[in-house]
Amino acid sequence: MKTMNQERTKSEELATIKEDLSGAKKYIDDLTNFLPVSFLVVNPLHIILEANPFFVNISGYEEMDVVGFDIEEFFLEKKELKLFKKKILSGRSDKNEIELTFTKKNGEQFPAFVSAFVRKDKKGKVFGYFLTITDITDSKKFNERIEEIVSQKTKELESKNREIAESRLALMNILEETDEAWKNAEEEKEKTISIIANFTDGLLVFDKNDCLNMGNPKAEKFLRTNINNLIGTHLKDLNGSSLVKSIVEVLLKNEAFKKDKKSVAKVKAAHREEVKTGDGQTLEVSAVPIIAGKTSIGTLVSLHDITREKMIEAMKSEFVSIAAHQLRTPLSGIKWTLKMLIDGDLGKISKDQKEILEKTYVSNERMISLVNDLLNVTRIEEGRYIHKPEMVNILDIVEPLVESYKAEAERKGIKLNLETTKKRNLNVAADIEKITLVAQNLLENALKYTPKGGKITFFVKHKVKANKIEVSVKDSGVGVPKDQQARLFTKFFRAANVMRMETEGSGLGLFICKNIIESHGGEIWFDSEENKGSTFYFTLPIVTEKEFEEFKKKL
Amino acid sequence: MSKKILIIDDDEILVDLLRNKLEESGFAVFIAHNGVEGLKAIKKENPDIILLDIVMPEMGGFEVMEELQKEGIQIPIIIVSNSGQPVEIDLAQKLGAKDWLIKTDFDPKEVLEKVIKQINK
Repeated sequence: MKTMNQERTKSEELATIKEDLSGAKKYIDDLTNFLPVSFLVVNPLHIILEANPFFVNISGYEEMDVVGFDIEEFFLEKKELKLFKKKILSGRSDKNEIELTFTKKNGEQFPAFVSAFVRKDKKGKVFGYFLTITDITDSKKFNERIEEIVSQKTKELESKNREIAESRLALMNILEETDEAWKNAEEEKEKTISIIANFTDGLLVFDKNDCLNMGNPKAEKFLRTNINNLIGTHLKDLNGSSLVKSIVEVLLKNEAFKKDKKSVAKVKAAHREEVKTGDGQTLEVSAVPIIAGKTSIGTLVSLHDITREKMIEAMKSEFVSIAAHQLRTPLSGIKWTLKMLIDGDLGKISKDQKEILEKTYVSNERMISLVNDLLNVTRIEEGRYIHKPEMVNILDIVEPLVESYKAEAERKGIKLNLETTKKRNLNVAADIEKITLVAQNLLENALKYTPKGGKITFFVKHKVKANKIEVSVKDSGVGVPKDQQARLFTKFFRAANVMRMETEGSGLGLFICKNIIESHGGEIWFDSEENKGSTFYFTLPIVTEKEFEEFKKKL
Repeated sequence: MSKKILIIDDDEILVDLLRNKLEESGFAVFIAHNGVEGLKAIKKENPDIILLDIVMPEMGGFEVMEELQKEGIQIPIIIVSNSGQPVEIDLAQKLGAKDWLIKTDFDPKEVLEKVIKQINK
């Protein structure tokens, strides 16, 4: 009985074990069938014993095609494979990996990740291995692509880095240049400040809003005010001494301080005015716009001490006055004495005596004329020549003048005529005495340099377009040689041919005439041909009441 | 009665010639050689017209005119001088002078004419 039971249990056990085994085998078969990895069973001689469906899938081979073949048939890298095989069989490690290239049945190749799991028996001897083959084409492609991208990005980054490095270099250069430019500007600024600070004239700088920006030490000294307190103050609010007030008054009238800064920028000349400081000094105050581009961005005012110049001017004026007086005293003595002798007031004289006395008289008159001319020239140079402008009809000056010379012309055998425009009310702004002097000078010259039998015509014309009066004196006299004509109106000049004639004339007459006419706003000129005659012209602008008032202001 | 002319001038030669000419035309002529003498003479003789020089010792022509203006004496004055800047001539006019003759530009006969013209005004 026991044996039958034992046998029954053993066969039941066996059956159970068989069941378990076949269950396990099925499990393994199912596993390898569905495994999405190529799976090969390989013997120690590297011969393929089994291949799973996935292998078939990716290799294109059927299982029967590969069983019995060495694995090296399917891989490209024989040498590496040989080493790998050795490694596997050495049993040193259970898991061995390598990357190889697998050749499919249709000849295509793909990169494969090959992993070998060593199978060892109880004694540890290697009796074969499992090989998994994974197609890493995509993986590789992906890696390559990544590498490509990385490489590209790296290149781009490097390029960008270079650009940045270059930009940085450029910026450094610019910084250096800017630094240098700044240093230069600072230097220039220091120079300018130094110049302004040490300038011998007082300088004040106003900004474009006419507020005080700065003043140099000399200005402070002149104004006797602390300039720092006044910085930022508008010109009209500047306060301090009465001198400051006087200067402000003068500046407010100055063209450089007008509101329209664009038109101010066109002001070329500095307008100057004198201001007395009240303790014996005189300052010349002038203002000039500071221009940037086309508009004025500020004004520079200079205070120039002209005390010494004024003193010299006063001394000169006094000297001239005294000299004139001292020279005239004996001359007037001689003139009067001779005149009275000639007129017979001091007793009867013979014809011969009278002749000599008359010659002496004429000579003396010439001397008197010279002194007068010298005196006038000095006054012209001081700019104090014109004194009394009036609105006058030019004919009222010319007609009586020509009348008064008719007798003398007749005496010299010269025909003297006056031809005038028909219009009667042509007014000019003129200092009557001075304009008379000019007309007289031209007429006397004509009489002097025209020989007996000649003709002199005095013209007064109305130049409509130019709105001027033109006065001309035409003679048929000796004329002026061409090479002398350019210098006719200069000081002390007398043409060579005239010198030969020994006529009177200091050489100052035409110089004075030019000065008078030009300060009246007119022009003076002449035409001449030697031995044919000359015509001297001068013009004066015709003025209305309003224009006359403005003319007076300018003087 | 003949008109009285006072000449105030330190130039002996000219004064003499002028007096000559004026007396010829029937004027009574008095002479002073400087401003101080001149003022005395004005008060003493009360002339109808004064011929006044500017540059004189002791007291000059301008001071004389200022004095006369101060005292309200209104005798017509003609300046007869060898100086003559526009500023001076202007000032003289303001102080009441009727005319300013520069000696080198006028001779005694012309001065006489001016005097007659002025006296007959």
